[in-house]
Amino acid sequence: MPYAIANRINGEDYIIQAAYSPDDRFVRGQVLRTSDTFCSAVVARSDVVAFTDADTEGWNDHRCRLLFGLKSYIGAPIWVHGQRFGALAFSSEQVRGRPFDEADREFVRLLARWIGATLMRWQEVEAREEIAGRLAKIASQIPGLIYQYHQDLDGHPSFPYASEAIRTYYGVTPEEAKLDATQVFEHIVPEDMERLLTSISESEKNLTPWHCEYRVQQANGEILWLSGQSIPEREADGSTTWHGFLHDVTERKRSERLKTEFISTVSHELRTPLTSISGSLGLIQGGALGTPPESMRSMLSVAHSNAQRLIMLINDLLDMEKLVAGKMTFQMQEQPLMPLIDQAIEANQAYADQFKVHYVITERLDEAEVNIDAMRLQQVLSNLLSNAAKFSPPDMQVEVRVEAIGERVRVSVIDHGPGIPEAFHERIFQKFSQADASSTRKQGGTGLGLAITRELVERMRGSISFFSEEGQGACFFFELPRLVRPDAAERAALAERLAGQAEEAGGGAGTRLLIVEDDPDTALLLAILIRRWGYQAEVAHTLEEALGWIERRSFDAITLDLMLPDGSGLTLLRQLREQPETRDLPVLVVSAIAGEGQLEIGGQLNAVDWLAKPFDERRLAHALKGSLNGRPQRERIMHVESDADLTRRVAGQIATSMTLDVARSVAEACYLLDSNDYGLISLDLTGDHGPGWEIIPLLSQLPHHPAVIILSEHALAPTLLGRIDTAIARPGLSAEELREAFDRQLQGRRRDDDKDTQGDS
Amino acid sequence: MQALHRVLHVEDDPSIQEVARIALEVVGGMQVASCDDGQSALEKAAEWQPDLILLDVMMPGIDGPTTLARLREQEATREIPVIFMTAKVQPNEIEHYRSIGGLDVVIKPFDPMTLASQLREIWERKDER
Repeated sequence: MPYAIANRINGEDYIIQAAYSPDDRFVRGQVLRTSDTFCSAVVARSDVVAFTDADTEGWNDHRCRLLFGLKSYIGAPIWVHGQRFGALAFSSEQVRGRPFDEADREFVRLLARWIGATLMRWQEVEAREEIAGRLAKIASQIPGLIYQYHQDLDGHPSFPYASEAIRTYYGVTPEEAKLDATQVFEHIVPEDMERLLTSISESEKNLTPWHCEYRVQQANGEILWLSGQSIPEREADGSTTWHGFLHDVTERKRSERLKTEFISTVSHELRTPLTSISGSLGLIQGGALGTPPESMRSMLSVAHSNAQRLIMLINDLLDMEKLVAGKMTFQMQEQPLMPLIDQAIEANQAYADQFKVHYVITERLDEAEVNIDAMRLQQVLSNLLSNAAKFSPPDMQVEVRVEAIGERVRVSVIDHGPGIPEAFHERIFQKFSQADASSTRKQGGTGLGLAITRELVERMRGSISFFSEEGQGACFFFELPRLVRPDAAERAALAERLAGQAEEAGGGAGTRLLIVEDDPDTALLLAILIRRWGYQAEVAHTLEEALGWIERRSFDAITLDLMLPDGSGLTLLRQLREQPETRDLPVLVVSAIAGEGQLEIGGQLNAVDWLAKPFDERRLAHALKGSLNGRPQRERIMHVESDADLTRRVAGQIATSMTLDVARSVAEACYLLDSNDYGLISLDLTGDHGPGWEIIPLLSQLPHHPAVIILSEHALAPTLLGRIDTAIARPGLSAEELREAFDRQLQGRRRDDDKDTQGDS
Repeated sequence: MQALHRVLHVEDDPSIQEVARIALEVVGGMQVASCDDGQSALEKAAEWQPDLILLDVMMPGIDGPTTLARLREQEATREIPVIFMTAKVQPNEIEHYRSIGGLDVVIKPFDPMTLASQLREIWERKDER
């Protein structure tokens, strides 16, 4: 068959893609009408069409037979990407001697499929080339370097793709960089190298977007500042590829530096003459050089107040510049809000006095805590307070309200001045805006105050707004996120959980510490640590609470904060040292002012260790161990009381040699019995009823066998009460007798224990 | 404690020198000597032995912090307390001046009527540090 054609068919358009035709009757690019060809039948059937003699097989009046005189034909559809593309056809003007069999049909079908696959690949390559061409064109127009950067598992760097700008930045060609980017790194300025490598390795490790600004030295010695950003992707083999963009920021860096230098110079240069101008005027106004003549006074006052205004303006400009450039540093600290408000009002009252205005706090929120920079918040408050005073009619008050709004705290400053005209509402926080240009002169101020205030509030994660009606005064308010601290119940639950863990861990069980610390978070932290190490811990937030605990329980050591709401920890320390029972009690002072406390106390007190806040866990553990070391093993006694006076006498007697816990209720006694192993229990049975009586039935259930002493009105027969070792009649009981009774019982119990041990062996 | 009496003021601007001198002498009842630069301050301080040096930060030649470092190097001036004076600064810069050994920082422009009491207050707190 002399003719072979591969075509593309699109409706009636039949375009020859490739042709083999000895007489050049069919050539590539030639367009025919589809219905003029036998291929229209292939299209209609979507399958092979074949005949050896058109005239005898029913194709005699087909247009193809008439136009081209073709007699035999075999054609199959070509499919590309699942779409019919065209057909592959073989034909001849001669009748074919042998009819087409199934093998011929299958052969042509396969051939068409093969052509389809080849065309598909060509199309893909073409599309890729088009994209690459497009990217190259775009990349060549971008003032920067578009790249893919790759690091294999050995850290070998390369740029699988880099736009032409890589020549300008690093002096290598995209082709060179494709294989090896080591050369690129040779251009990085040495001081910036570590920072750059760290940023890359962090991005690689965490797969976080990379961003870095660094310097490169070019062949001519010139230094360029480059700023880059890219997104990393992990490859199947574990290596990493970044896709990103680098650009030259040398000019920006230069102007930033110039601007900073300029501002700092202007600041210094303007302040120097202003310092002497306002200083001189201040001395005259203050009367340091004698009384100026009456006729000059008003002019001197004008000069002085305007010099002051100029200073304010420069300060505000500098603040604004720093804020805009992000150069202002904020020392954020968690702290209570109200003291700052009180402080601000006090500091601004003198200014308000000029306008005969008084500040009043109408609502307080003493428990509110915020995370802010105290100095910047003062600046905010000072601005709002002075504005309010300035615009307030004389003899009126400016109200300050602090309230909780959901999880935020709102501070409002309310004046009864002329209010803010509606038309000005939108511009009020903009720079250099004052409602009426003349008010700048009349009211003073720079027109930057509120703009700065808003920036400051927003930098501290707050928001600021106002409402005002003309003639009705104005209310400016800002809101800050309130610190959410776990409430008492949550803290208790947490402490309990941790105590549970500690118990499992074992450790220093039976050793009890008192934490004296007013800050609930620090106290919680200490309690968590101490319990984790297996000690028991109780917390007192004030001196009073601490004294209460010490009166009722004995502790093996105390951690002591010095600054407590109701006095100095040093007072407690001195008190402890005066009492015989706590004279040798180890005290670990944990305080921000530990150093100062140490100076005040000097070396006068024994068994005191000092640890400055903020402390680290390791040092605390070490100090605690040190404090507890060498402390003799003390016998533990529980006393169940119904009479506090008796308890004091008991405590006074035994404290130096034994550890005494006092329980005032059955619940308390049960709690103590659960968590401690007592050598002796004393029960106060002096009343007709009381916790002591209720404990008796519980004694037989205790796993250990403590000695039990009862103190009663009359000497009761011990056997009457079951497991009672000694009954002492309280009236006429001397402290020594009591102590001896305790000692006797404890010794007796120790002997019993020894016996038990021997029996076991 | 001995009261603050003799102050050496180091400042390159003569007008500011004059204002500070009146502020400290007339208003504050102190005795003041002034120097134009760090170098002469080193000599004057050694010879005159002031109770306190009020030291400008930005000066031509050797600046304030360098002057302080040199004062600490020479035996005769090692112990003399120094207060820096500078244009409005950020809180962290104030911390910096304290950390390099300044008692505190007085901000320019200062109020001449209260400058002396400001210095006295800082002076009285110095032993707490």
